[in-house]
Amino acid sequence: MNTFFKSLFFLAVISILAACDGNDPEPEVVGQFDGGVFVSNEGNFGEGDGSLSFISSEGEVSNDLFASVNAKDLGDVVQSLHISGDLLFAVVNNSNKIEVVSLSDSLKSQYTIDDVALPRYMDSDEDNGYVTEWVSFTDPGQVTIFDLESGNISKSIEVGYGAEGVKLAGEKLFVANNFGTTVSLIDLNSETVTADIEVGTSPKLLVVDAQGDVWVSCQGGYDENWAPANDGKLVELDAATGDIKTTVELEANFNGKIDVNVDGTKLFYSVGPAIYSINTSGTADAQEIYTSTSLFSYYGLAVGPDDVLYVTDAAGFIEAGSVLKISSEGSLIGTFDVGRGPNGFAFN
Amino acid sequence: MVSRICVYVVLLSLTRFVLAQEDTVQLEAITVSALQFERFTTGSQLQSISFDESSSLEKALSQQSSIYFKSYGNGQLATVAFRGTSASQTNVLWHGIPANYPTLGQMDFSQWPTWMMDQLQLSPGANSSLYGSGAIGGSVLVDSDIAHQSDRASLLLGLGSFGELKTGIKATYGQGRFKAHTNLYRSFLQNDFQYDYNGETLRQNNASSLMKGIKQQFSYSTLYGTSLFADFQYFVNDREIQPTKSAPTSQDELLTKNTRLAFGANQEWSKSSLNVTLAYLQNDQVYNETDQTTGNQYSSLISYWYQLNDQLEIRVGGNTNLFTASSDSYSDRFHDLQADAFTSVSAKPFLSWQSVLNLRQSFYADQSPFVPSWSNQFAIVQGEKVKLSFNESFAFGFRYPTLNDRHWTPGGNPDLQPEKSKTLDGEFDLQLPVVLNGVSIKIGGYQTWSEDWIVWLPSEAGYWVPQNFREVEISGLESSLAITGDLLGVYTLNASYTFNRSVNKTGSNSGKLLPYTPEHNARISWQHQVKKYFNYSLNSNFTGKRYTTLDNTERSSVAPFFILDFTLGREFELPLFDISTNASINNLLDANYENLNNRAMPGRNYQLQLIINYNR
Repeated sequence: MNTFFKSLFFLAVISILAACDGNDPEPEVVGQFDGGVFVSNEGNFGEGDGSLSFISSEGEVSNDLFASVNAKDLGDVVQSLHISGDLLFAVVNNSNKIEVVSLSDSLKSQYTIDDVALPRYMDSDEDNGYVTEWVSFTDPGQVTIFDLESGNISKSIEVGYGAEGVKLAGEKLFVANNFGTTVSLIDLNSETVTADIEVGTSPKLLVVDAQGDVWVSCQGGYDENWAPANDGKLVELDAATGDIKTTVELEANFNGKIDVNVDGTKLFYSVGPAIYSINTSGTADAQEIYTSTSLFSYYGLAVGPDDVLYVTDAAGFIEAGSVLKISSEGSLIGTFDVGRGPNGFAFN
Repeated sequence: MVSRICVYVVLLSLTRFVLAQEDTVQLEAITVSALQFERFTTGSQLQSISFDESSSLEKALSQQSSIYFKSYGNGQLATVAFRGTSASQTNVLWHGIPANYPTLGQMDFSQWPTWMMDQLQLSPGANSSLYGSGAIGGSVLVDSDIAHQSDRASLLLGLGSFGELKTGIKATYGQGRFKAHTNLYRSFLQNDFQYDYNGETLRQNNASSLMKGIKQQFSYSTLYGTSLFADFQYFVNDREIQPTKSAPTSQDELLTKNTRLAFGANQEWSKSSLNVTLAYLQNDQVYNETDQTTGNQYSSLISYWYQLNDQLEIRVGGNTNLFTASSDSYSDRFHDLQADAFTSVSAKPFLSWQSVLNLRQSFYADQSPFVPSWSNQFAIVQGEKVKLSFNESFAFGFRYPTLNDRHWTPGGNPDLQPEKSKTLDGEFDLQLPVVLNGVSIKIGGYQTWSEDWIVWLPSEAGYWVPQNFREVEISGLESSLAITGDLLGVYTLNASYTFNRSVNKTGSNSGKLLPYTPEHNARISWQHQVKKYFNYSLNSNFTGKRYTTLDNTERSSVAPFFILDFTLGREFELPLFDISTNASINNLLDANYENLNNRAMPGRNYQLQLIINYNR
């Protein structure tokens, strides 16, 4: 009899202990975002733990910003960020959505675009956003045009497989088809694809240089035994015609992450642990800027408004990643702990 | 034959004593293949699990605190990990044959309904030397032996929350020395439960699962100690993969077909036996109707047991497993052959001391791990009122890389070495058979040193490649209490608590805990048969905080949870029929919890079950 009541008591105590074990994290304080950089943390595929970090110009880091302000997780695989005016767009690949927050209103959610399939990257003009979508692994990709203010989708234009990087140049939209070898050229007046430009294996991202030319990175391919073909390259396209002006062979495969400095005269990329720059005009050789002694490779790369380089270490996705801030001369300015799988930046 | 019956009776009575506290008494005969293991284990190395055949395996294992049952959701991928190791370090044997899906190196237990299981045994601890390749954490043994089942037929009808409908029918029948068993099962779970997320109530729309299975068994025994069996199973599981809370619209589907075929022959002599089993297993998975991966396994197992005298028994044997697979993700067809030779010696130099030595030499590609283990049981006190024993073992363990690890394109690494471990464990086992109706207290600890854990890492080539990377040390304490008494009928109380630390010893996060290895695990259950009128049970499970990343930050952790289930049952005995009914309330306290980060779990939910048994 005694044991009976003792057992019940034990059960009751355990229940109460468990009920008291609240573990809600305190929301982090959100500061001003002028002059800082937002970091997209991809998260681990399938875990839905993608997040948004911010590094202020003073070097203060705020993590999990979207979640702490909007009381929900950003989603599964945060692929990229984009800023247009007061709005910050987070393109969330495996959650099939774009979360849109206001910079002036403490990153509060403004709207969510749900009607996209495996979205990747975006660019925008004054009124419209242009987001690439893989759609699926077996269907052609597309670019979807939506109204920046309302998020309403007006049109989707079919491009090549694995629609990835997208860049607006005048009245034209360049789209890198990552599962293939082409860049699709879209005329925005007619909203049709006017050319498929053969550039190289696995086109990834696009930037515009000082001359207004569009550079596309090609990651490189593999032979039948999955040995790297070492045919990664940087290709300069004439923004008006889409003609190839220059091809820089890298003699290696690489992650395809590229950016230009503020005046567009230098283009930055990384191969393995080394970061290089090349001039966007002329024929000077690539210059090695910085080489990590501890990192195997970088996962994200961008150049800030002050020409400072930002790269990320995804740390194998088994722990929180970090951001390395490197001067244009190649000295390490600082390292910042961010979220899981940091892959890209947006500068405010 | 006589010896076998004797051993069977002894084991059965021992098992009854140990398991008197378990909920549903459904003890079957110990099978030949299980006997081959029973004879060479000591202490708690082998624990029979009795389970309610209409309920989930998760419930059946809910009182095993050395196990972490990792479920991606209701009816979703469910794996078992022992003592802070990973699910791929759990060895699953069916009729003694390795049954993990060879491509993944894991078993998805959500695809093996308990209605189609007869016997389930667990063996925590590194016992690769005894149970075959792969057991660094422990082994799960699934077996059945219809030769000792009485003729009967059962019908199962089950209804539950979120559109759950279960039906099953099975019958054991035979003539003379011939027995047969037919088993059919179907369950469907719409799984459209509601969950709270960010102050909103959302409905899970993409997590339904359909399970269908058929099982046919035959057995034949002769007067001369020869017995034969055949077991055929075909299971189909078609499920939507439950999305994360933050991506509720994502829709993915996995269709899995499992075919298992085993033939066995056993010859018993007065002091020896020879057992031969041949098996074919196929695991076929189709992801989103396009990506198909089929793994085939052809296995053989032979073992010979010989009792020299009352103090000494030996076992020798061998096992071969041939794997082939076809997949868009494998560039080549391949034939991977694994072979093992093993021997065991069990000695009882004194009445109070049993010592078992197991040796296994394994071969796979150019790898040839040799794993010995040595375990001892010391009976310290052997009174009628008090029995106290101390069990200890020291065991080497290993796990081979999976077919994906070796052959996945791109990345597969045929040069991988097996994961290796050394485990030392010890346990005090106190039995007080005359206190109330029986009290059992066990307290033990374990320490594992392991290396060469296989981790997929980014490579220079631009894709991920598995490497022998991580070193891990695991230490833990286990304790359990079981009380049986009588209060208007038999009641049993089980309580267990495990403290476990699985510590990474590699890289910048050396000293941190591995993801999804809770430090604290506690289980309490109470079962009570109130006279003949009704029975009820309460099952509770506390699982401590789990980190999701190796840096062990608070923001990358999943909160602890406490789950309480309640079941009320009633049995009716009619001249030809037994009718068993029960009603369950799962997650009685309506806890909003996550087993895995961002995967919603259902709140309070209900189940009704009816089982009609026809006894000839």
